[in-house]
This record gives sequence, C-alpha cells and structure tokens, in this order.
Amino acid sequence: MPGPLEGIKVVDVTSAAAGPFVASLLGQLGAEVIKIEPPTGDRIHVVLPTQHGRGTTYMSMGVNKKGVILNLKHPDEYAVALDLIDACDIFLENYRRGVPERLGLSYGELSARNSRLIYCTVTGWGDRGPWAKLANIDPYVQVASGFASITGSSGSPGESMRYYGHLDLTTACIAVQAVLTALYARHKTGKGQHVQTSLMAANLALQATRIAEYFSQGALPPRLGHAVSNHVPHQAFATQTRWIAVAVHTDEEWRYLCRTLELDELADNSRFATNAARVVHRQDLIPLLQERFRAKPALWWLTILGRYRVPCGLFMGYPELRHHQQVTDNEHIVTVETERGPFPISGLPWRFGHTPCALQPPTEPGQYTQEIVRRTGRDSATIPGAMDESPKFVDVAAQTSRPF
Amino acid sequence: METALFDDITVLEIAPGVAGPYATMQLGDFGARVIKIEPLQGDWTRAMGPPFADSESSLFLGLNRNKQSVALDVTVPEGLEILQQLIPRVDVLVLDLLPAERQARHLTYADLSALNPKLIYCAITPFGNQGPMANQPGSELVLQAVSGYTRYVGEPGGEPVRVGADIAGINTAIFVYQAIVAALIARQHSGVGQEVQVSQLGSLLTTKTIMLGAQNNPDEWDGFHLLSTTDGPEHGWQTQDRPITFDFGTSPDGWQAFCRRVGLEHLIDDPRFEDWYRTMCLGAEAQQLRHEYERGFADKPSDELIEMIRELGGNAFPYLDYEMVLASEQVESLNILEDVPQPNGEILRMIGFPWQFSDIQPQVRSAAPRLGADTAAVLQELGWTAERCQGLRQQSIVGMP
Repeated sequence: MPGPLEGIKVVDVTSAAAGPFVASLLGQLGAEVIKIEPPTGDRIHVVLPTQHGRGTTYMSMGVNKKGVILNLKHPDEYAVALDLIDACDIFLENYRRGVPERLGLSYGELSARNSRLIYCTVTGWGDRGPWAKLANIDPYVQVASGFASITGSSGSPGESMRYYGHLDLTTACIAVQAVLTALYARHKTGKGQHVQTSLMAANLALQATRIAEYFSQGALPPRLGHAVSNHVPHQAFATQTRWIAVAVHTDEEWRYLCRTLELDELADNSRFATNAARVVHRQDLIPLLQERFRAKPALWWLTILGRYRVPCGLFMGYPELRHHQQVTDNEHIVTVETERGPFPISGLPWRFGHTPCALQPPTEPGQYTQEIVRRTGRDSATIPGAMDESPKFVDVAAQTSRPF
Repeated sequence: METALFDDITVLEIAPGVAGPYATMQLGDFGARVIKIEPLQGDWTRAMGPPFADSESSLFLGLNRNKQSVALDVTVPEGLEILQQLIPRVDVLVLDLLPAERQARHLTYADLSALNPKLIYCAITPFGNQGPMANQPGSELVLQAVSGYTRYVGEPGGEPVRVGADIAGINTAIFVYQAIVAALIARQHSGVGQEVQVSQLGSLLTTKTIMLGAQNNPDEWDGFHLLSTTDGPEHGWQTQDRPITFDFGTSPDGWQAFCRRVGLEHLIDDPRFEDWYRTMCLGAEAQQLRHEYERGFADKPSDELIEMIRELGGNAFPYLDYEMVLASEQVESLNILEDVPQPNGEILRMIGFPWQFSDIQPQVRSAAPRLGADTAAVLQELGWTAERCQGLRQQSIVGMP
C-alpha cells in the first residue's frame, strides 16, 4: 500500500478497539496489516449498532487491513501465524496479561526468532500495579483516570463522555507514536524492541495540560461547563439564535473582539487588558460580553468575528457536519463501499506530499485467509477448515445487545 | 541505545498553542534539539493563567520542556531572513499558521523546501487546508464545538458543556508527532523530506470514526453510541460518598446475587430490568433506571460496593478526582509523572511519557525556556556577532532577556 510505511508488514492479533485501531492507522500509513482473529471472532463483534449484521466498531477498526482467521491454539494454525510473524516488522497484541506466554506469543519468544521485530503491547491499566488485572473498558478509564472529574457544569459531580471510544482510539494513537519511534530506531540499530502503553497512561497524557495546572496550584480544576479556569474569554455565548464558541488568545484578538462588540472601552480597561486580569475579573466581564452577543444572530457574529480573525464556531452535530463543505472539501469524512453498503469513515489524519496514503474499505473477517496462508508456502488444500468464516459472527451481534 | 534517539534531529517550531508544542516536546523527550520561535511577546500560552509558576503559566511549562526559545519577529523581512538562514540547518519545521498566512509570510513548503530539500515541513491547521473555513482561526472549544464532541456531554439542547481535557490540542499533537516520525522514516530510505499536513478538525473526526459509521444505518439503530447524543449527563451511580460505575457482563448470576446483597432483589423480576445488562455502565436504560439502584446504594460507601461487585464477578470503578488518582498506587506504578526543576528552583510535577520502551528512554533534560533565552546563542551559531544581535534587538526584530 502507498504511504510512508510502504513495505512494512504488521501482524495484528488485537481485539476490541484500542489495539485494532493501532493496526488500522499503521495500515493507513501504508503498512500491510494482517489481522488475525480466532474462529470465535474478535470480541468487538457484539457491540451495537450493526451495519446489515456486522458490528459497526468492527468495521470502523477494519480499515486498511487484511482479515485472516486462525485458531492460535491449534498447532498447525499457530505454525502459520509464526511464519507470518517471522516475516513481519511489527506485532501487535492486547491480550490479558499472561496470555501471550500461554499462546507462545511472548516478546521473549518472538524476538528470539526475529530480532528486528517491533512488539507492541496495549494494556488497560499498565502491566503492573493493583489494578493491572481489572477490566479496562473506556468508560472505566474515563472515571478512574480523572477524565470525567474535569468535565461538567458547575455543581455537577463530574461527567463522562456518553459516546465512548475516544479514550480507546487516543490510546491507539499513542501506541502508534511508540511503534513509529521504534521503527525509526530500528533503522539506526538494526534491532527491534518491545513498546507498551496502556489506556490509563495514554489518557493521563491526554490530560497533560490540566494535570500540569493541578500540580502547579495544588487545587482541583474547577468544572465550569463550557469555560475553562485559566483562559478568558474562551467559552460559549448565547446569541439571538444559538450558542457560539468564542476564544481570544492574543492581545490583538482581544482588541478585535471588543471592537466587534462595540465595547472598545473594555480593551483599554486595565481590569481586562490581559488574560490574567480577565481571569480575575471574569464575573464582571462575561455578563458585559454576553449581553452584546444576545443582540444579534449566530451567523452575524460568525461573519463579523471571522472578518477580524477572532476564533469562533458553531456547536455542530453529525447531521450538520456530515455534508458541511469544510468536511467534504478536506475529505475529513469519506464514504467507502463495502459488502454491506456504503460506510462512512474518518478521512486520513495526515496528508503526506511525497508519500500519499490511501484508504481501503474495512476487511471482512477471514476475507484474506486463503491468500495469506498460501503466502507461507502451504497448499490451499491444507488450510485448516476452521478458517472459513462462521455465520455466528453475525448471529452474535443480532442476538445479544450487550451494553458494551 | 547509548545515545538519545533523535540526537541528530533539529526541530524548528513556529506553532504557538498546544498542538504544535506538545508534539515538538515529545520529539525533544527523545533527544531532538527543539528551537521554539516565538513572537516578541511570546507564545500566547505563556499568559494563560493563573496558575502561574515563576511568572510563566503552568500550561506553558507543561508543554515546552526540552526546548530552546528564540524570540524573533518573522513577519518583517529581517526576521524572515534569519529564519531562512536557519532552515538549511534543521530537519523538521512545525508550522501552525493559517494557509493564507503561510502564503503572505513566504513560509509555504515551496518557499522553504527550495532552501532544504531534506526538510520535513509539518503544517497544522484548525480546519484543513481547503474549504470555506480554511483561513478561520480555531481554539480548543471552537474545535470541540465544530467537531461535535460537545454533543456527548451536558444536557442535550441545553447550555453547551466542553470536554475538560484539551482534546483538540493534544489529539492533534499526537497525529503531528506521528506525521513527523513517519516522514523521518520515509526520509531514512528516500533521503528527501516532504510536506505533511494535519488539521485539528480532521484529527478529532479520526478519533470519532466509530461514531461516523454508527449513524449510517437507520434499520439497525440501537446501542449506546447512538443514544449518546440524546441522553442526559452521565455521572454514574451516587453512593454514600462518591459516584461509581459498574456492570456484570451478560451472565445473570453475579447481577442477581448483587441485587440480593444490596437489598434490591425486587429488580430481578421487574420487567423494566428484563435487559438487565443494559441498565449498567453507559446507555439510555442505565440513565432511566439509575434511581432504582441508587436506593440500594445510598447507605453504602463506594469502596464496599466496588469490592462486592468485583467479588461477584462484575466490574466497578469509582469516579476519582486528580487528588485521588494522581496519588494512587496505580499511577505510581505507571511511572508517568516527572518532577521538572524550574529555573527558580521550584519543582513542577507534570506528565512525562505514556510509553515503556525496552531499548530507548525518553528523558526530561531541561525545563521550559524563558522567552528568548536562546536567541543570542542561536544567532551566534548563524555567525551573527553580539553587536549585530544587539542591533536587531533595538530594532525589535529579536528579543532576548
């Protein structure tokens, strides 16, 4: 596949989302990704909603991959996997701790066979510590990492994001950083290595700014709804029609905002002249701004603030966003054709000038089993029968509607 | 490795805010030399406080370790000339300027790759390089709003609520780091650099790709992903002390035993609890029936409930605030906090590195720099005498302490 990682091979035995999205991003960067799942299927198959029977999350995570079904507990099929791993550059796993050793897929064993191998592990809470063995889905990481404690209106006890997946996918992105870093290092040293991250570590890193502020002042970040404690104004304002988001980063933007609101006298008022002063006098300032914003509709403000290059925007939902010209012109959302009909996915997050990447529709489970197994020199007649796709993937999704 | 991984890489950052600085800081953690070019009044994040530590905002200090600072006005011809002299000496340029500004300031890829074909030119934009909003500035909240993340918190239709973390900044930064290292890998083979673009809107939609697919099929419209934009605020189950969240998978034994233990056995035969596994964790059913569980939880401390749930085969966690989580044994075991001595002797604790590598070790080598602390040194490397530096300073082209 085209892209900066063209020629790199990945073997991915992860399931759910935080692991599989590592593989998908590496595939989008141009690596060939072989996704191995057991005949019982990736455990994400049961997550709703479905797309004509196939789990949405499975499909979203299957972009730029080749699906292969292998029962790694069966010696012949394990041997196929080892051949693939011996010939690959990157191996991805997110098993429960202890399972790689039981399956014969530990870092020690695989790196002894292939010293150039980059072996990436994604765990929930880290590989040690009192929580290491506890369940680790996104909503639990939200509440236990403090992520939920810094969100919510004043008076709220803290609030989770109701859509989950953001922390899973952020973890995947952070694991991709580690894999790329190790790949760069391999070119210098000739050696692979073991890289690890966890949902917990990744999502503490996602909160790095709030955590630095917390340690500096020793006080918990206040929950301020749409506002933030250290930056004024940087919040939503109600207009005559709907809410808009407005921010001022520089002195110049502050003067332009005051001019737009016909409040030039505020620009020269020392109580509001700097961000630090505005933070202190927030309670006096915000009502003055809010009163002006209410006098005109959202579009009027967006247009005039845009003219002065003051940061502002609408609060949009998917229906508005999906076909917004800003999204379509940049291909931020792309619809790919699949066996199950057209399916929207995110566009490429990076755009390379000389090594452009390309998106491939999500793989079906086992779609490439025959092709990949033949590549290991085995006759197709000897491909284990367990590998044909079982309809139970679909049935599982249709029959149980688990909360996660 | 004996030496730092990126010890032969120099990065030039012209990217105030969060996204660019976070990415370049991580390159610096692996040993890259990072030269931060700031306007004479400094990166705006320096002023984003209180809190301040040693007169710089904690926000800035947490995003700019392992860097040098050069205060340089690149909007005037003399300043641009200095920048152009630096370009052949660097490997990576991270630029957070609107497309129109890049044009106007002669800082496009075409302009700069002519000076250094090995240059990796990483352009960050708020909304993408094309389209009607391409030249509109963004902000953390603006990007959360436009990308629809604010739909998953707060009351639907009510006053907006933002995600407290700086996701537009940091999720973008992570893609910026990936883009740069992937381009460095490509350069290891090709010997040439390239342009790579990352937008904040594209970044936030990438981490939402499941949601983009989920809303595609009205015939199979079910599950928490779809209900997340119409549900109310999600803040767990109140107990005697603090909220918790919990589930029992899909095996009913643990759930039934739990109901009996907490005095809620009447729920087992309650028809509203037929799909009992949907009444926990996230989702509309959980929100609607929350009060039924809370009746049994009100007189019990969270620790006791969590222990009981785990003992019965379920999963449970308390809502933790920073004071609790950052002092926890689990965070201690992750080895993710770094104590960074500041120039005035204060120690600022911050997030270090979210990874473990078997063969390389990222490292904090220096605290965030004072504005212009390295202007003179960098100009001298370019062959400028101390006298000429002073001249530039008097003309307000460069700044130094």
